[in-house]
Amino acid sequence: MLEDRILVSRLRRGSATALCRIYEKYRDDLLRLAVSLSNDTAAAEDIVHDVFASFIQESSQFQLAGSLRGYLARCVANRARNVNRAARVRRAVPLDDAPDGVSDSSRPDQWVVCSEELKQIANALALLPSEQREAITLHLQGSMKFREIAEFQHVPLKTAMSRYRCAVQKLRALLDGEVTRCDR
Amino acid sequence: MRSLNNIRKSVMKAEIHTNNQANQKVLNDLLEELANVQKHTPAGSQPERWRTIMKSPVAKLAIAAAIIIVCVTCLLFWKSTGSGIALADVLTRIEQTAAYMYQTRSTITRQQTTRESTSTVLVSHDNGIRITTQTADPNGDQHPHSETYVLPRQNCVLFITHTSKTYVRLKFDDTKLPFYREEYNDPHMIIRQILSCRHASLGQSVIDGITVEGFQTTDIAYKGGFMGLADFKGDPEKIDVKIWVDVNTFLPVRSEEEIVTMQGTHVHEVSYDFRWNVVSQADDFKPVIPEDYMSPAQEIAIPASNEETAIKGLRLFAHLAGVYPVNLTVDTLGKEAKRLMSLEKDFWKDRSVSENEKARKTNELMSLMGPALFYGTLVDEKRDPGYYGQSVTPKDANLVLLRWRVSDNEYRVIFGDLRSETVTAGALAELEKRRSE
Repeated sequence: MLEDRILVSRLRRGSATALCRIYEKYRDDLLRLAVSLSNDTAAAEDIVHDVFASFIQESSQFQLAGSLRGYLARCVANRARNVNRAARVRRAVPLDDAPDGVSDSSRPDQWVVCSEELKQIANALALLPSEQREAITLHLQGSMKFREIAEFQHVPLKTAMSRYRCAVQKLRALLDGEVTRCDR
Repeated sequence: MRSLNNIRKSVMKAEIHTNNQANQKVLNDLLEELANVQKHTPAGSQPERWRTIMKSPVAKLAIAAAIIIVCVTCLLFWKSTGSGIALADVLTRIEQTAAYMYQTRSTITRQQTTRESTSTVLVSHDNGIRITTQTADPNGDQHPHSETYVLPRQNCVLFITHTSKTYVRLKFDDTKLPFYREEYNDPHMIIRQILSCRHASLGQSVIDGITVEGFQTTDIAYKGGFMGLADFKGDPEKIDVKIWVDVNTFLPVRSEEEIVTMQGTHVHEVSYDFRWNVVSQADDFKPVIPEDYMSPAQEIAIPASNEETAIKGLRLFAHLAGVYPVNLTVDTLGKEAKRLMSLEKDFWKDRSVSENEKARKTNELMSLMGPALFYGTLVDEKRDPGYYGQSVTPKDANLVLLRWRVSDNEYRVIFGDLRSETVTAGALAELEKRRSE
């Protein structure tokens, strides 16, 4: 997108205006994606903050090859993978005993407030295998093409598409209350 | 049971809200991060484009202040016009273009005389600017009138006037040329000016089959006109400037400037036929001066803009006129220089005086412009300048003639006897009281 190329070019030269614009433009989408991938609002806030901070640190060398949205979405997904892996190790508790990620309680410095619908979706997504969860969120919330998702997951295009289809079917079943636990 | 489509929509559009205070806090963190990154980025890694040398005021402020300022300007940039295109982005797009060309049609009416001309302008980031101007005779035939070259590598501007078979080469010091580079009727300059003035979107329209978005300013703070000509001819009474930008490429398609000054000068300029990313070579910017063309001086040095040249110019002015200039505008000092030259008509007509001596004299008179250039810089840099040449004479040794801020609590002062010193703001207040007494 032309505007994004211009913004990146300006940010490379240190334009704070460009940073403000990029932040305003993609903040909410990235937060939604991070919540969906991590099922944890506090973790999602850290992920998006860190993604923007890293992006700034690399901005002077950064060359935009595809879409900026796609690039930032991949960064969020990468960080969410790390957060999820660390959380799994830390908890070391069976999935059934783990608390729901997106809670109703609010923190004094809370950045994100999820709608009921998003909470429900994030909780359902958390029950999907991680690669299916990535495929559906990166495609629907990160606007990434299946080819890009396949590259990101290091799998053939058809596998990425099949993971997405499977994820949509399972999500429908979960949201309609047909199943309570996803078959991994 | 929900449809798959419904599920997809829910995932895509599930609402998320953010806390405004937290948003601002995160943004401030990020802006601070950006300022830190910039602070530690070697200057050599910045792109070297002479068109972007103009000093950013933000760069001169403390980081904390910069963060506040950029937040405010950011909001203004993105919210002021309410349009799809941000003019700041158009500036960036122009800066990214290696070379471009366009046509300008100008009509300048002054004291019931109208001069019409058309110019072809070639702008290259690497090589400079070339402007070829033609004028129409009463039959409507076009004749070459002049050529102007702005040559950044040689730090000079060359004017060749075909009608009088003369040429003038102005040599600039390193600090002043960027200012002159910007002083032409270029879309880059127009947009920068529009951004600094109150402006509005004209909405979308179609020009030559291209969908464009227009912007307009009628703010009299706008300074325009070819090579600042409108500016030289007095304060503006009416300003109407419009520029139309291609919504797909973010590049200008057409601009129109209409400036009426209080002295009655009417300037109307239309720029069109923009061609972006044209191929240009260094040879395109090599001026050819015919052998029979004359110059009043081989090279006229434009004074640097600093305290030293300001004092030198004021001293010369006082020596020639016995008083100080009433104000420090380029217009006033230019007229005075011309008047002082005319007082020595015999010198200029004397064939026994060598060309070198005439060139030396020309450059000496040019130093009269030093105070105007320095004062202009102080105004641009918002250094709180004050000049009192109307009431202070060379005999008023202890009265403040010119002052400007050098730090939060200190001012630099040039006194009536042209000595200078740095004083505190409190001391300056006391000194300025003397003038009123």
